[in-house]
Amino acid sequence: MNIRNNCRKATMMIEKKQAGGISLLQQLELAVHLSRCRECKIYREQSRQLNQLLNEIFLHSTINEQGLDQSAKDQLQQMINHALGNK
Amino acid sequence: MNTIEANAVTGKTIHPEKWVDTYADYLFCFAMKRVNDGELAKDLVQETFLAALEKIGHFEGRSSEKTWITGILKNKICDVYRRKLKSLALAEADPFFRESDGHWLVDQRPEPFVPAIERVMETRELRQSLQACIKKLPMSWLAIFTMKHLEDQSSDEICATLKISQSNFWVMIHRAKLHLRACLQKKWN
Repeated sequence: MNIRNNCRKATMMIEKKQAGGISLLQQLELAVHLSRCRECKIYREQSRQLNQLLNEIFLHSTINEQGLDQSAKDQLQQMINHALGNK
Repeated sequence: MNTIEANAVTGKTIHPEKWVDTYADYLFCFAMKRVNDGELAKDLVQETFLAALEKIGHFEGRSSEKTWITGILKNKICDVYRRKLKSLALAEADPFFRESDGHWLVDQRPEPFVPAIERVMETRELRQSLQACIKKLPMSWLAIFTMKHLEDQSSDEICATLKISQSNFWVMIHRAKLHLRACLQKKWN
């Protein structure tokens, strides 16, 4: 079973191709597959779109920019003081 | 308390008693971005300070105190990734393709997220939906995306750090993308 007739393999090749790592033969087989598979063509487009969105999300993510809560900090400080005191 | 340990060779000093004030927030955010779990991130910060205290004698002043401590945290995060990866079963069949011939299962077939006509206004909302979808991924898959998109690491580097094979790496990327794509399609159709 090769890339030509197998959407699982074709979509895997789409992922590998985006990272630059497939052979000429694989590129050819993928092109043949994509020329007659509407679903995998949509997958390719959406996969690229996902990469772009993922980049944006990870680089500009603002999750928990407020930092650590005070009680956790107090605990950490105690722990460090204790460790330093034991030296 | 005023314990300042100086390195004899470089004269660079470190100030453990100021670590919490100086680095706790920074390290916590650093960990949060990479593990997306508040309790775990807290634990990682604590473990990092503990490890740093134990290694104070080894601080050589070749890098700044901040870089040194961040490096310790990075290693701890990689340990978490590796642990989670071990418990991940990649062998099980995926829910996207027919087992017999690898064709898309009927109810999994990709469809455009939104009609082309609405494309202009879609990106921001799409990004928000994707963020919700990401939260549903197993953390070890998230690990790969984080290393790829946040640290800009190559697939070779990621495989080496996580101690996984190239083929497992691609299976994980592929699966994660399939899940994210399906999740977005569900939200938008």
